Amino acid sequence: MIQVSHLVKEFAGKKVLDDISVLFPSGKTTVILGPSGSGKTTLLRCLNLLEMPTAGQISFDEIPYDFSKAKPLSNEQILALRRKSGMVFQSFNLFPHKTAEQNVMEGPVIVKKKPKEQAAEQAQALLTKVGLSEHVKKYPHQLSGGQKQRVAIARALAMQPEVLLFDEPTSALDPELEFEVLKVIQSLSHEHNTMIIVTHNLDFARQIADQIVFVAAGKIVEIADSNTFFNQPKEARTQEFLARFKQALLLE
Amino acid sequence: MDDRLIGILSDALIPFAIAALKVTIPLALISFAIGLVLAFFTALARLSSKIWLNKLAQFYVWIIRGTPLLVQLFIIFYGLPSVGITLNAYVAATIAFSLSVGAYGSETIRAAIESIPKEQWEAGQTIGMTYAQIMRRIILPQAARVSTPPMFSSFISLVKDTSLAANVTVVELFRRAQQEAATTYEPLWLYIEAALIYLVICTVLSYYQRKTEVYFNRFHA
Repeated sequence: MIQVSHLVKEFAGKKVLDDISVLFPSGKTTVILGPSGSGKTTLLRCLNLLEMPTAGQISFDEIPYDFSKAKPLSNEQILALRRKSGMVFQSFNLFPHKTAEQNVMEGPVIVKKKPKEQAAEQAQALLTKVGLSEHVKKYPHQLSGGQKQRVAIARALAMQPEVLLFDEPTSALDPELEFEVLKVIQSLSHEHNTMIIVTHNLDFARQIADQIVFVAAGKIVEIADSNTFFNQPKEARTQEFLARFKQALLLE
Repeated sequence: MDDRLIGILSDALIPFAIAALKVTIPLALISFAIGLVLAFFTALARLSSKIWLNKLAQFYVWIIRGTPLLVQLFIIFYGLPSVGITLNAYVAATIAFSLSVGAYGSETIRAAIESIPKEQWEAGQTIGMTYAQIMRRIILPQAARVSTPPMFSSFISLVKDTSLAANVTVVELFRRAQQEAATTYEPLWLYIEAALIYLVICTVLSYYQRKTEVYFNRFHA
């Protein structure tokens, strides 16, 4: 369970996240939706401190990390917090000089000091799980976008994080390749992993989300279960957002 | 070309080869190795957030790049004895060349490290790696690929720059050629012969540059 309380993030004096409080329940999939520039990616990146929050608190399973204090977090605290989560990026960010297998093994071997044979077995199992058992020894440049993203998911899973963060995981993919990645994410959701997903794909959000957090202009507008959010949204700003989405569907 | 000239040139070949093998090449190899280590740590200092470390590295690069190598060599070999530091000519040359490779090389390495996208750092951070782990395992292997061509250029320049050591009594290839030319009065052909030996050494280096590039390109489309 991750509890975010009164989180603020400023860039050069401008509030990108303004007093965000939200609970991400364990074993559930939360989708963060919102228009471009709403701060949803920044919120996700604050959870693993790729962006350092300006103020507020994040608690991982009751262990609080406070950002309002004058003293910044120590390097050990930052590393400890980061090791609780795994991240999947929009642009994959695989290590280009390492094979698929080596990408997945890197964290377990270097950070967790797992013996190489064990890490290799685990990598093999994870890559099989994401449908890449034939591509274990390939370098990223030999893989398609969808395959790269699945390696990235396996790399995140290898650290056995408490929560998986996805930052627009299919935005850089062709529609045909998008499907294979969404399928993997969906199966992870069915296994009751704790997941937080930022996406623009509303159809996918509707299918996968247990909870939807709608963010606009750096503030949380509405938090609801998927059904309520899409069928009976309470806030005017949410209704407007969904109406625009329906208009876009009519174009297709 | 007459028989006498051919005799002079073939007689000179062995001493030239010995001077190259015993002095020029070791001088270049040792200076480059030391210079590379110096360049690496200077680059890290330049990238450091510690101001004094950064300034120190900047100062070093500024001095070395802003003054002629030959003048530096003279200061170290002919100048330092007047403050009580007398160095063997080989040591003086090695110091001057290493400092030079260190300064120019640090800029190459710094640029190569900075050319690796920040997303690679982030990817390492999200799997919990420390700064040192990311630098060593993710950034440097990729930066090595980027810096291969310019670092080999530095190495090739250094091989030729070792001829400056002739001015501080080091009998390397060029000094040997000067000696031969002085006794035989055939400067044109003897210097061409010496130049060809430098060319051979640099050609071998170019060959290794290509091999190194092929090695690093295995992971690059």
